[in-house]
Amino acid sequence: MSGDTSYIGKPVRRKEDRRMIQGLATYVEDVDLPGLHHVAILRSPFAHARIDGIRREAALAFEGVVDVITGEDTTHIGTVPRSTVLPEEVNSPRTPVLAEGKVRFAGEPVAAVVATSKEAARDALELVEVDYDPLPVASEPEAALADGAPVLHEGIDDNLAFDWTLAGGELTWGDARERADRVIEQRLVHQRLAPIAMEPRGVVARFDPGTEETTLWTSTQIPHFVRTFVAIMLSIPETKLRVIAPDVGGGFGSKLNVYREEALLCFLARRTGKPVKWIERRSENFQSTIHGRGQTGDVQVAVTSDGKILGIHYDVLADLGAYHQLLTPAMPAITGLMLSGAYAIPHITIHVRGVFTNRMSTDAYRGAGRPEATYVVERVADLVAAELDMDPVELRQRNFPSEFPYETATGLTYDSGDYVKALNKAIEVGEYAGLRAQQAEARAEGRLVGIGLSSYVEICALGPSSAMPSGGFGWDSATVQVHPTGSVSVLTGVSPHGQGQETSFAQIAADKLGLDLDQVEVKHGDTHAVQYGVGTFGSRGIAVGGVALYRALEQVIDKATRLAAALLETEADQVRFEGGVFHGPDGALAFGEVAFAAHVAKDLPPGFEPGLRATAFYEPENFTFPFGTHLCVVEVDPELGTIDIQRFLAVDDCGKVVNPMLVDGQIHGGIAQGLGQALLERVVYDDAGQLLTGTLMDYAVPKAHQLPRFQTERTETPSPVNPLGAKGVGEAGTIGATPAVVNAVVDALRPLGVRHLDMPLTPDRIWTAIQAAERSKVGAR
Amino acid sequence: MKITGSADLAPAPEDVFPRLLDPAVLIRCIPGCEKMELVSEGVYSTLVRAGVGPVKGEFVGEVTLSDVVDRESYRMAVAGKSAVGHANGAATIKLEATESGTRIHYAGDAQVAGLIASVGSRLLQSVANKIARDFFKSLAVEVAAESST
Amino acid sequence: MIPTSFDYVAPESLDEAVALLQKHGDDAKVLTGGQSLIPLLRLRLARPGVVVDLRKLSDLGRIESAGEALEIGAAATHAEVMNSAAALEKCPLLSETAGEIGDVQVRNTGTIGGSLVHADPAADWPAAMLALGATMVLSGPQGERAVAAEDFFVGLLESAAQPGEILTGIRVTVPRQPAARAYRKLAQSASGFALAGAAVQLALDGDTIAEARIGITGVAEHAYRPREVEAALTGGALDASSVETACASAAEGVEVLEDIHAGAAYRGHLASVLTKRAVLAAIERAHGHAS
Repeated sequence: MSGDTSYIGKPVRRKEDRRMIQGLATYVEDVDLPGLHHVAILRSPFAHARIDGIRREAALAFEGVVDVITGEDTTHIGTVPRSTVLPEEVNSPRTPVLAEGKVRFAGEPVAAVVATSKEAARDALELVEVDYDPLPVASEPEAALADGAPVLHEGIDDNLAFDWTLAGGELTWGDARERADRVIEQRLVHQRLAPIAMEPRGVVARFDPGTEETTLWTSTQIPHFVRTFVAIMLSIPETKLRVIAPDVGGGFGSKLNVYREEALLCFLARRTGKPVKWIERRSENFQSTIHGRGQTGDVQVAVTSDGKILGIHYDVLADLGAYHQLLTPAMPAITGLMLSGAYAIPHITIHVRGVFTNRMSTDAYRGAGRPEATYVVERVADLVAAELDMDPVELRQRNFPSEFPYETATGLTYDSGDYVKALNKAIEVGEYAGLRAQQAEARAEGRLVGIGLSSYVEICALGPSSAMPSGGFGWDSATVQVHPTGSVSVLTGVSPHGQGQETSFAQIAADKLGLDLDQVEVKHGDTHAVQYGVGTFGSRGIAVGGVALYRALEQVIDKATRLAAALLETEADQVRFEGGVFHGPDGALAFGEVAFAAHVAKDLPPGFEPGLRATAFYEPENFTFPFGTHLCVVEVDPELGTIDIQRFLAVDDCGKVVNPMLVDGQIHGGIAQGLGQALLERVVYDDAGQLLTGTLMDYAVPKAHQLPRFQTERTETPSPVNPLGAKGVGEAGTIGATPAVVNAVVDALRPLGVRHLDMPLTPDRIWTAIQAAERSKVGAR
Repeated sequence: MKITGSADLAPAPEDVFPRLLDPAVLIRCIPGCEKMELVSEGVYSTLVRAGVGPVKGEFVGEVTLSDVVDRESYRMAVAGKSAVGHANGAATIKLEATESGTRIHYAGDAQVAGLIASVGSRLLQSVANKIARDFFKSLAVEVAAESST
Repeated sequence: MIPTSFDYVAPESLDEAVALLQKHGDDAKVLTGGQSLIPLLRLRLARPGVVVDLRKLSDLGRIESAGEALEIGAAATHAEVMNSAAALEKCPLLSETAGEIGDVQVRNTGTIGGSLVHADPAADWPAAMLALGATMVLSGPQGERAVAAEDFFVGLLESAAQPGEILTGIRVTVPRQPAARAYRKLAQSASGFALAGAAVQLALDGDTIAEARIGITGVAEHAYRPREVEAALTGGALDASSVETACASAAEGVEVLEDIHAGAAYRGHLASVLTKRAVLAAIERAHGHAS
């Protein structure tokens, strides 16, 4: 292999694409086993009801049915787990695998049918008779907190999971208010979103009576976690449970979880002795896979008349749903941590009340708490700019931190960040001055053109356990196994499901070892094959998993160098490894030769173990803080209320880039989901807790023809936190895009007197706001 | 959903009112009703084949007539479950004497749970309105037939 | 997404199809493109015992020019109508409307007849049928009958087709010339159905409108003709302001639908705006400007 071809920084095509595009990938649905049986799950149609009785005789008698279970059969199964991250004190009721005496959200599993075919399972499901006694419903968080509200969980009479305040900074809120020339207020709504990964969830479980081992295939982002927690839930040893994440068709956080169905299928495989399969229907996915966001807050901003933000006070209700899933309470807490945004703000208070509601659980969805924070801060920036009649660019420049590292009022340390550079690049590439001039002309013609910015900072690559008050799991792992014939297997503890690490990790390893890309195979997702890892989420794949790989590679090179030195009859410090070759003073050895020798292990130097393999577990010293500026230009059609995005420019800094094509892909996809939140998407429950957006006919996932061309630019400020200099980019696009669009639309409507609009910015909302603004102008005359 | 409206009928309230409480009449007025059997005072078990277009469900449930104020008002509650979901509603029905006969005012709520709520939300209000309208249309036919005999 | 069990039959003649429907009554459902039926089957909202597939009846798929009329078989796909040379030449509103339906896959499979009988309140075809004054031809045990578009869309998901009847074709008379036409729709962003849609077919006379036929969909329980608007446009001027005034009453007299995607006020407003835009676009196109 020619050593001068570096893979890092190149847009290398993905190795995984071949099987994906040719239909040769193996998703959970593709897992087929002899004697496979099928599971159908009966879900509650009511959001809140007592279960007075369940009769299964008719279903059991249906041809092909081998078992029907209810909550009575699963009381011994432990609760679906909730990870302790933040806040520290949380009311944590039991989350049962099948409802026990009561249902608390529409879609809650009540019974399961196992049959020889999926048709039989589905038909038999209708024969299970459940007597529901409907109870009053608390659908909105406000309804759950109102006097006389129905109590969801015994013993938690106020329906509050937690009441948490984080306040800090060099000023107190009182001081900030006092010194301020103005205090601006605004209510902000982050609507619930459905992650809608292209592949819904699915689980296959098989119990081997000989070894007493259960194998669980599941569409997950965290296979090792699933193994640990399902083992705990079922009281079986982890050594007897194998979890495999095969090809996974997207997750976006919705599969960063341990779900009821995973424990349930494991239980059914052991109970029936049959291999069992459950594949989520899209309508089930809407009802019973976690939703994202779901926060309603009131923000107050204390600001001086020359645009310096002195403090932010954010009072928010978090719509948690009826039960906790893995990270449910942590989302608004993460929002709190990031409420300083890209600015130096002397005081920040966040007061969150996490409320149980008769709805599906909320949890991490692309951005996981940071889109909410960025939206608040970036809307605040524009609200302040509008109020003070200041250019939004200037407002931002006035409030960026002047030096790094910068410690925020919330206790985070931003490591490095040239926010000014990203903003300036956006201004320059976007030709901002020209855009404002064009806007003035358009306004003179009566056209509604708006320009919106969003300067974001986001926190990812979780992370250092010292920085996380309770809970760890901030590390990840990699094994580099060199084979006698010189090829290399990388076993990574992260669990990619679209991120492309089979390629980017191969790039890192191939570069470091001087190999060709196809001499490196990256394996992930199988708990029998791969050492314990934490998984893929929170934009940590490269910044944590990639660095673990880097460390393992260093160890391998170190060991190989010592062996090469011995074989070359020189000292290790006389050997230089370059271009895949160990160069000594009087000779050279190729990597493959050393690999072979390590396995033959004849006449090894003293203390030298045979083989050539290293495993590294890496925990970062700090989070990484990617940042950027997004710029959006829109025109609003006042008659229809529709929005035309004329321009979308994203300038993002994710540190050093391993594969620019993969980074572009992440930014594009992230922006698409960010625009989806701003313009299209909304999970709707009615007051009776019925999910009204139950299919893709009513929930508008962005389609290609609805999106503009994205212009993407990058700045590259290497992270000082890891040797790859990488920061993470999976969520940045989503975090940055949403406020840029909303700011642009509000800017477009500013001449009409509109000051704020809640998402999604549907044509009806825009038109209605325009009408209201025009009416109040008329009224004011 | 809210269901409100009114319907005008020719006969006077004292002739209309007993029809409204008569299960033999109700079974012909409730669209798709195939069974209405007395279970206890004011409570009837029912089977209603309801739907719109190609979507039909067989709703097994109850109709409860209560709060009867003779010739003036009463309350009707309907509940049923089917393979496509649960439906229930309750309305207060008031009779007003008019020059041409009776004006019936109805005001109530309806709620669905299950599949029809999650896939059919855009049509539910229209369906609920239609069921109410069809009920009173049939009632008008019933009372007219009665009066003409 | 598994349907309940059903029997599947694909008759080879129209008589056979009609007989099957007679025999099975409302336990049978007709299938052509399946774009409305199959989702209902998979959600188990529709549970027919028998599905009668009409796609072997090749006559039902034809699109033919017949003098001053166009005969469109009920089983012609939206794409076939969209690309039909006869439609493009004689009655381009048909092609324009077809092009607004769903997406490529839906247009390649879904049929005009299936859409019309399903009578979704937000489907596109009903608007065009009303604007064109089309006639639906039904075949049943009593033989054949023709129903005018005005009488065909009866209620929410309800067409004039009686149980046992099959829609075999749509007859469209070539519009009065010189003609101007357009279909303007605002799609619901998830489903692609019309939040509101206005199909407009005009006969022009110098600088005035001699005749206006308009079909509005998505706004009420079924597509309708806004008669007041048609009257106001007839003999009226062609400038934007006059047209706007004439179209203001587009939602009068109908009960405007309200759902999570659009409130009644906005929908009613859309009816007027889209009608206006369709009329102005039609006029511009007829006068040789942008199309």
